[in-house]
Amino acid sequence: MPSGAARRRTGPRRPLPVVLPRFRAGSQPGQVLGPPLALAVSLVAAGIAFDGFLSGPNLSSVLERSAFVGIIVVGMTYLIIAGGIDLSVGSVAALAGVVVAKLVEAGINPLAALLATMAVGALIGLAQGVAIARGNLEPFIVTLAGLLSVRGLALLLSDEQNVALPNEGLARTIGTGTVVSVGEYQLTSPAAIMLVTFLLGSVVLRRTVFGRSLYAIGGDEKSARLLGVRVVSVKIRAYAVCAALAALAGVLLAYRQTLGRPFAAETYELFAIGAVVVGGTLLTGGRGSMLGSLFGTLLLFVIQVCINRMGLSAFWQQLVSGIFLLTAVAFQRILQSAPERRAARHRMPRRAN
Amino acid sequence: MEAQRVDRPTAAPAPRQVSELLRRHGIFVGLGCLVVLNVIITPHFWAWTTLRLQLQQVTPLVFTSLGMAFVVATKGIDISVGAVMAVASVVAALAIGPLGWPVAVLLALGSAAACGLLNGSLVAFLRIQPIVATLGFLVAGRGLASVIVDGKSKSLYDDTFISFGRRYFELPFGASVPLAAVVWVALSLAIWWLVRSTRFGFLVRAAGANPVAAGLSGQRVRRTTVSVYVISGVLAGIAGMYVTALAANSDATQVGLLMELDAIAAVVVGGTTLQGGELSVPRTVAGANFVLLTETTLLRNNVDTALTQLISGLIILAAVFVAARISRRSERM
Repeated sequence: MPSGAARRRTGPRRPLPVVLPRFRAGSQPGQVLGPPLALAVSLVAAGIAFDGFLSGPNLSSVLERSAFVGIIVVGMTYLIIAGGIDLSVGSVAALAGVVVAKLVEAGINPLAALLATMAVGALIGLAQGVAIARGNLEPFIVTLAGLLSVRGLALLLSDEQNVALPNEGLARTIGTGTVVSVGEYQLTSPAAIMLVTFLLGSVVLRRTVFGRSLYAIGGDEKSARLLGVRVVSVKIRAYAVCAALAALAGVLLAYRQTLGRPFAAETYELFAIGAVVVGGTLLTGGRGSMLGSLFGTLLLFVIQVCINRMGLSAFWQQLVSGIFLLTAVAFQRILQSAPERRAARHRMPRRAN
Repeated sequence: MEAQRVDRPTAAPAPRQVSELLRRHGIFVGLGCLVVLNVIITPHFWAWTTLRLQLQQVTPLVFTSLGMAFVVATKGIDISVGAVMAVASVVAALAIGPLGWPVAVLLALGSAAACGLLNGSLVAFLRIQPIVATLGFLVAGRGLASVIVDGKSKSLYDDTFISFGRRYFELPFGASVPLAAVVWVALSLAIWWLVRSTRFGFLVRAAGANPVAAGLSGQRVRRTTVSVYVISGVLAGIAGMYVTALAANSDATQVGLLMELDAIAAVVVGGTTLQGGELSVPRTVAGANFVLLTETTLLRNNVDTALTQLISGLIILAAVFVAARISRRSERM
């Protein structure tokens, strides 16, 4: 309980270095090797099934399409590792698109507008984080309320109309520019930003006190607190980071489409959570990796593009994404519980049910 | 096993303090205040037709939030209710032409129960968190419903089926009550009895309050968990069919959209904590009426849809906050 004696830090002044084991080789190979293997298999299968799937333009467009959700996935990975969740990311992205379009319309430099909008996103995340970490409320219910009200805010601010952005200048460069191109393989600006975000996200997760604290909190919050991890502060920061990244994704999407759409990014939260889970991060918290999330994101979008190529409707995409998420979670759970069950058999008599 | 007499073994302590009284009875006071407020500010509110419409419109929400209350009592959550409504609606719409309405209703209920069974099995046997298990079905279920009909809406022409949504009972003094309202009141009473006086009702709360203890004392916890998701599925199925009958039309992309949010709101506004172990039928029904009446109030006073959405979000948050605060304070006592 966050009041009185319990909130006083009982551990040493500086947090102890939280050293966590890497995935022990052989303990759960399915979780480490699964996502890249699945991605490789699906790429090969798609390459055989569809002409030109592995060609430059197609792969570049897959990478670009995954950029917007991918940026959100980085923040979602933090939260899920820490045992939290954020359902409001799609709404935050939509609000960011509207806000940035309004700012650019008012004559503000697109890069400055991008940063300002990310700050707005961070504030929303901060508010939700405070409610969750200080108020001790369920993350999903707080962010569910966030999903509703932030979308409402976006609709209110835009008067339910799309806000146009100029199709030129810096906004266009950020949204559609090409950073590197090797032959037909192009790396567009959103895709490059996604890859950089993943790289930075991974470094922060592995090398900083913040990142290691996320693992500690997700593993066992009480122990983490006793070890001197600043649980409340780390959690609040994680929600702020996730919402700021969602805002970044929303801004890039708006620059890409040259429109701030209040109805944009619907169901992005589902894709982001799906990608994290498919990437092998445990929903119970305490375990996971950024690289896995990257593979998860790419896998999700390769499959989406395949469905498109088969000429199936958007409804099939919905159906397949849902089944995909369920299968991944179920598979993860089975892999995880096999050793648990083996251990339990030696300790306890079978439960009555 | 013989039916045991169980004396309300709720997790909540006896209502000694004002705050606990507020949590337990606040919703009835709130609903009363909202009605009075409406009588004062909303034009033409105090009329039988308005009341009738209100009772009719709240029907699907009452069904889904009662199902949600069962799931929340086991410390779970079911965000797939809207998708299940869509599945049931589509199945009923497709089956009613060739097979007639009784078979169509049974098939729709069966498919809704199957959806609940799937959700419940994922939660109980694979021990996937409820939010994620039902999130998967939220996406897949609506996708499935849309794929079956290829995203097109389908009109219904079966008069008997449609009349379920539209029939009224005339009362003296020009009053009338919709059949749907009679059904939801009767069903709520039946569920109230089920929760308070049967072994199953006790088990549901036990499974939420302390699943390990319940399991060790020989109760079938997993089976109970699966059943609550099946109940939630079936109730959502009924809600889906009702919406279909009322509109004489089934649109897989629209039926039950965002219903899960309203249902969670209804349970939470009713003062039920999300920590499990608690299930109150009257408070949930009052909560459902409160949520719908709030929306009606805002819409009838020409408040923007967007602002309505914003306010609904804030109301949920406030209710969760108050419920969590109060239940924690009384635990500390």
